[in-house]
Amino acid sequence: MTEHYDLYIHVAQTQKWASLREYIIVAQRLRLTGLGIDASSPYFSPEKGVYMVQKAGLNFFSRLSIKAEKIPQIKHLLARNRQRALIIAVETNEPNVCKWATHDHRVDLIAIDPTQKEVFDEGLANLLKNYDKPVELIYAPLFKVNGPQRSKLLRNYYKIIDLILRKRIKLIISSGATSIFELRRKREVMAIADLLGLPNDKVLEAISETPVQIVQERLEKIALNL
Amino acid sequence: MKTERTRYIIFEILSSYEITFRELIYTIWREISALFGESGSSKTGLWLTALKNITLEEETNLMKELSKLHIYRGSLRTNHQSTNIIRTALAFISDINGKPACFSVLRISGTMKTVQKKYLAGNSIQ
Repeated sequence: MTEHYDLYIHVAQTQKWASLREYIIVAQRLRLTGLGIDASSPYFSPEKGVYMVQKAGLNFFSRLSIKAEKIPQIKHLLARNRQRALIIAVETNEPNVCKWATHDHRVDLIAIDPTQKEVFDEGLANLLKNYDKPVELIYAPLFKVNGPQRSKLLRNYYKIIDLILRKRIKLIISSGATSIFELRRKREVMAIADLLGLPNDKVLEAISETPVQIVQERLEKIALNL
Repeated sequence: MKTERTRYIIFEILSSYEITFRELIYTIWREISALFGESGSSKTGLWLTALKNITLEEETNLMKELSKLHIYRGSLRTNHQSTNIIRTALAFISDINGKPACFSVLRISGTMKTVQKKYLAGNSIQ
């Protein structure tokens, strides 16, 4: 059976551990193999998180999404926070910051905001391909809009996915869930991705092989103290 | 004209509120129409055949801590050509009449017998 990793879930900041417990129960029910929990919450302690998630038989990964508007800001944030989480992602609406982050070896993946399709252009796609850096696409925004807004969002997804497939960029599909009801089972992720134009083999790769590869590469970097 | 082959989609819903049969069928139709249009939804031949609250049956130690989580299991009847459409529409549903919910398809079966025997034992229509 193919494994299913969701490398991006937000644990509510106000409810402390109740929310993580909810995520664990729902993730077990939806047969997820591993959870990547956003470590930016001030209530989040990776040690407790590891204990709770691993006790439930799931793999735990701490993850940090760095949001920056300018290159000096991202440099500063990376230097300060790189030891805080296992996976470092960059999430920005600034094309220049995105392109800079692609070069940096401390950044494990580039998270693309599907509401801002302008960020993900041919130039960035070529850079990502050259540096073999994976792109993360989240599907939770699709549940938050309806009607014409969803049509526009779907169009953005089509364009982004078309570019990813054309340039053969490594892809990760995560939920980006802010609530337990935004998590999905593997087959449901495949159904959503199918509508967006992704073939099933690519989806399986994006939810099982590539996340494992990223974690392994990161652990190797830590072992070598890079 | 070729005979339609029936498929039963067994699904599970996690929600923090109680859900009624009427609310559920309305939400499913709304979502299919929104994603695939009226023409697409008319071809599905969709029928909600069963819905059952299994929260108490499934209660475990961890679940007791989450008393607000309701688990429902049900089945939808459709034709074999529309299973993917239904599956996609169900994956897109994140609330039922404003109540947050998460759908997952457990199995697609060709006979009602399997559905009743393995997933929905007992009287299930609400």
